[in-house]
Amino acid sequence: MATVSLQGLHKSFGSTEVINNVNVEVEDREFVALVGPSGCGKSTLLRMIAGLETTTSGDIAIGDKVVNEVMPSDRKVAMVFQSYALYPHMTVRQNMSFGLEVTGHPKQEIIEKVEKAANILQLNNLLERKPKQLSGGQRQRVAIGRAIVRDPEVFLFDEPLSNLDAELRVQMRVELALLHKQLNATMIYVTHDQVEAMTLADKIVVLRDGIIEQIGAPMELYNKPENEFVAGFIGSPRMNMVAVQTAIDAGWKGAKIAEAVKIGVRPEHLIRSKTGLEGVVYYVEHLGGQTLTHIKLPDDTDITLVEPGEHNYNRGDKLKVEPKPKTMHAFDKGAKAIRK
Amino acid sequence: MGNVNRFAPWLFLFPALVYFFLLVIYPIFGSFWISLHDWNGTTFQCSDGRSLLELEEDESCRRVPVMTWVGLENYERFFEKTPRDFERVKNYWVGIFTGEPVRWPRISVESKVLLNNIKWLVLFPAAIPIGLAFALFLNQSPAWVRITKSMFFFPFVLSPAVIAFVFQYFYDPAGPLKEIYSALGWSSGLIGDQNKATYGIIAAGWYPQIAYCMIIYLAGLTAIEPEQIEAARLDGAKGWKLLKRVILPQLWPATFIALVVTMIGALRSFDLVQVMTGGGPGRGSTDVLARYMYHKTIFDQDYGYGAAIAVILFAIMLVFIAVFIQQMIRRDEEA
Repeated sequence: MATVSLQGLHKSFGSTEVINNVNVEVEDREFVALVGPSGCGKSTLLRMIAGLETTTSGDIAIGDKVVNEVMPSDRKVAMVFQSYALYPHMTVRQNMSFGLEVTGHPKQEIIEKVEKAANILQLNNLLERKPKQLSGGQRQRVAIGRAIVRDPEVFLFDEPLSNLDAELRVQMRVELALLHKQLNATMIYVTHDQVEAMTLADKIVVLRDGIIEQIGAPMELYNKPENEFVAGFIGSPRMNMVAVQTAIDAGWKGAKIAEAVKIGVRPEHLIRSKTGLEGVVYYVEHLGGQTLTHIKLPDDTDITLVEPGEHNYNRGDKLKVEPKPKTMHAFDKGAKAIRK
Repeated sequence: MGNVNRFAPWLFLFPALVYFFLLVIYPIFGSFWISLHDWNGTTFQCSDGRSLLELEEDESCRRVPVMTWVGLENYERFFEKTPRDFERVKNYWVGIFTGEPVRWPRISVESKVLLNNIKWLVLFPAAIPIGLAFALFLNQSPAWVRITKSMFFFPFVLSPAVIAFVFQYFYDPAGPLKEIYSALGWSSGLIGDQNKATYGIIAAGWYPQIAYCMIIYLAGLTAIEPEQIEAARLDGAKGWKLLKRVILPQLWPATFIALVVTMIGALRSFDLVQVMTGGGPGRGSTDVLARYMYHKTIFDQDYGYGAAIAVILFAIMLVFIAVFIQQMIRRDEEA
């Protein structure tokens, strides 16, 4: 197993810069998630680590070896693709053993490694099937199996769950977390789904337009976002943003912060109150366990209120809300978070 | 309702079936029937047995051909000298391999025709790997590749007759290959020489066939997911291994179509031979079954013999078609 170190990475396609001065240190056996909206460069970054894209400048080191000029197959990385990229004409066994065969491993060793990976992933009964005969979740497992047999130092995942339906996605998410514990491997995981990142990762790298917005543990990003973008991206539903003056006028305690332009409060940190900020209910989502209420403020800002249990608000109802103590985030003109 | 559903498919098939029986099935059996006769193609009589000359003025009758039943004689004629010629050709090759000085034997026109078709069958499919190579080369993204791509399609849109004429000029002893001919000592040029002419025509046939195979392969290549190639690169497969183990197996449907079209094309080669050499030089040195059949029927008015050649050609094709269909069914069952 190994560390991965990205130092001053740049990547441009023609004149468009897609990765701009990225510095990330991935510890040994760490699970790191790269998240960001589509087009933020997270997949490109992963492909650069895999060696499928060249780097314009900067260094990629796996272990203590700089691998910029090393062939993808010699970087000791294995990648699981979004489309799984299984070879359709090969059986599950052939798919998993192909990499070992072309690199000239002895037959017996290949059989053993494939059997071992199949055991871990419960693929034993499917080894002679072709990908076409498998379900989405099974294909996903084969793709992971193909990565495992190569004994890589680093596993790379490119949105591996996004082709699965919601239920299976939750199941595979748990399996991936367990697999990480079992294999004790360094893993880098690209996703646009912040829930996946929050639940799986030891460390999250938030990217936007090729620039790192913040790096940190999941709860660190949730509790202490460094800027408005991270605040909005991490957490679901998104953090509510209201103008400072609105918050002060509503009498929110502690809203008066020097240089602050916006006040952010997560929907789950808002509570209904006698006084406070008043708005009009325009849509209610009943999720059973909780109720999401969308409220429009007089200045046309939309905010969301999440409350446990069932609440029957009607469209047009007036509600007053205020934040729970110490849950406010303040942002300055440059969208940077202000820490007190 | 049930009745309608039962008859509806046949109703829709009816027009196609009419044409199929009239233009395919009936002529096949008709050819076979004629091949058992001697007929010059122009003599007819009335169906009631009267000669056309006995007809009254203004009287008409259903005309049927006047053919003499000869049984399998036409087939015997065709294969009369082939066993002897087979021996001679065999001895020639034995001589070549044992180092004895031998000359190419004199063989019958029929044997030449069969031999030429075999040459076509063996050499014409070279267009397939060449087409694949072009397709792999053109399946890249640099701008200049995309621009030049259309030029590679060009031979495919030319009429075979045009290609034949162009190659005729190209092969001319006084044409662009003049220097090469004189260096090699080939004074009559490529298609002016009995022993080389067929190869020259096959090479001309490659020109559009390579383009055709290339188009089929380009279409096949677009169906291969780029991520699979990347996965293979991570797996350490590159070059020949990548081609053989990942790309080619997935191109099997394209290869199959290319193979079918090229083999059938080799068997029914006609136009290039007709335009470039007319079967010559000499008697039948470049002739092939399809052209020889045409020649015997139309020019020698030997309809029975022509029909027999048609049936022989059909039988050979049937073997290939049967193999192809069997392959197709097997692949379908696997999938």
